Amino acid sequence: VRSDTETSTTANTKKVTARSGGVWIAVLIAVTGSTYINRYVGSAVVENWSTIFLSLTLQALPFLVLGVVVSAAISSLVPPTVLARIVPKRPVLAIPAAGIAGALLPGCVCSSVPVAGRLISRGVPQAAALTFLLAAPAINPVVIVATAVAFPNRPELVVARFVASLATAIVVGTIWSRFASPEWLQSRLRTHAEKSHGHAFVEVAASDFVQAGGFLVLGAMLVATMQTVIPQGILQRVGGHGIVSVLTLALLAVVLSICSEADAFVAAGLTQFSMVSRLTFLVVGPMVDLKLIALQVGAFGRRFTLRFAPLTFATCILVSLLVGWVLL
Amino acid sequence: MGAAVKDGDRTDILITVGALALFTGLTDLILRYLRPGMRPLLVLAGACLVVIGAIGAVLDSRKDDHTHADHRPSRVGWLLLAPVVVWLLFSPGALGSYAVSQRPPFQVTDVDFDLAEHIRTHSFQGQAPDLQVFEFVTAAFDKKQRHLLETTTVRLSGFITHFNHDSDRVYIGRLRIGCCAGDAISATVELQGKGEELSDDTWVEVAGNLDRKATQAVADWESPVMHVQRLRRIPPPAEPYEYTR
Repeated sequence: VRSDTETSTTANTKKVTARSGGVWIAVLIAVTGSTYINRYVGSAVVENWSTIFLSLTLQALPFLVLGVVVSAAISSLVPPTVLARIVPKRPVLAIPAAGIAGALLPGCVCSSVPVAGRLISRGVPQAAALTFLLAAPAINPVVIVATAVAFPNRPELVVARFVASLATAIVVGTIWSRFASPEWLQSRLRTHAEKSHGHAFVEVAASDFVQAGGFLVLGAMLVATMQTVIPQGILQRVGGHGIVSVLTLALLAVVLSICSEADAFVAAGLTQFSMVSRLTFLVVGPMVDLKLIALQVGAFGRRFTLRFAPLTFATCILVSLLVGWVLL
Repeated sequence: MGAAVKDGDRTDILITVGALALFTGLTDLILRYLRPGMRPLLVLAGACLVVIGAIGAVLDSRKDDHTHADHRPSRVGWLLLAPVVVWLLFSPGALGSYAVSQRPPFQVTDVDFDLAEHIRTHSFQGQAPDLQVFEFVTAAFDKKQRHLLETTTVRLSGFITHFNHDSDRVYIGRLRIGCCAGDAISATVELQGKGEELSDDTWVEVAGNLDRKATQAVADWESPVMHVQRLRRIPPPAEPYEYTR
């Protein structure tokens, strides 16, 4: 297969390096269209969708660039053997270590996906890298402080969020290391050819950004659509307690895809709901949401995401129920 | 656009997206979409993209026929142009009345706000004290503070919204964001006495006091009621959202 690809790539060299000019066509169409569209399509729905879509994309952009740059740096500057040496071999040690590493490094979903993908391609055990992927956006110091600010008189919720998120990341990592088949994960990130470090860095960063960024935009489109069409106000009246409220808020966390630094403020406003269901909202959000699912499909493929996202979602709910029952 | 993203397109995409990030970050456009604190990060990200794109373009132009076996051009990268296209087409403003109608109204939680202290520690240049709409709602549903809000004239600024079009009630609304407009939460105060004729998303400044009787009649997930003494139209502010003080 490999030699096949090589032959065809060499044959198509001219084509691969060329540009199709799609960017300029798109910009030209948009500029021309803009003079007509504002006159005829001035709808509040379209504007609301566009604002949310642009906000989500622009907000994620710096974190995605950071993730891609760190990932490209690992790929082109860190020798492959170094990582294999520092990461513990046994999953029993590697998975909790990855969870705690995630807790210490302020990350965002958008940075941790490319970084985790790169760690895997550099020989870090899948389960450990995935534990890091789940833990980094969920329980870093910035998120913990934001949660404490949003719930000033509820320190036990802050503790519960930390404990439940770390536990979920470790449980999912452990289950994955026992039962997952390594072929489910098909890394779509670029590995570089043997070149100078600088060349490799730019190649890998540009390629990964376009791949991951495309999926990020897809995720932002879905989220903007959900936020625009779902009247969240009715939730206040659904409200209530029990398992229905837990599942409602778990699903809401998935479709709203609010970034983990701000979700506590939204949860604080959902006063009709029980504390356990709000805890579930805070645990699910950073680990399973539309934006993250899109990024995972982009980095690891569909077969992986179809198994990993439901596993994480179910674990989040069970662990939140358990932790909530003990701590809240 | 069914075609795969070629290397040359890739560098074009990086530069175009980077330029959008730079433009947004360097102008007040950012205030429609993100918390102002994101400005340096967005500018830095935009600059990185433009630089990586430019270096990539130079490398591409010098490329010999040795390319990579693992190169898998994909189509999804074209989607990165969507933000640029959407911005050029609609140039959407900040969230307003429509978003308020889609979101649950702000509920008084444990958020700290002390009206008496706010009045004591700020100078209002001889005018009535100005509050955030969120602060008004907080004080209005706080048993200890509602009396002060009933007896003090305060100023609020926000946009007009009617959110249930089945009633003739009019509200002043405002959105508060944490990171970006995607996480906005809304607060509204019902206006009594003025403003009925105004249409959604008109920016106004109102001065008035809490109508305690009317407010006690509503559930605490609804909007408190303000008895309006003065109302004037204002231009939309550069910072359309409220942030935690």
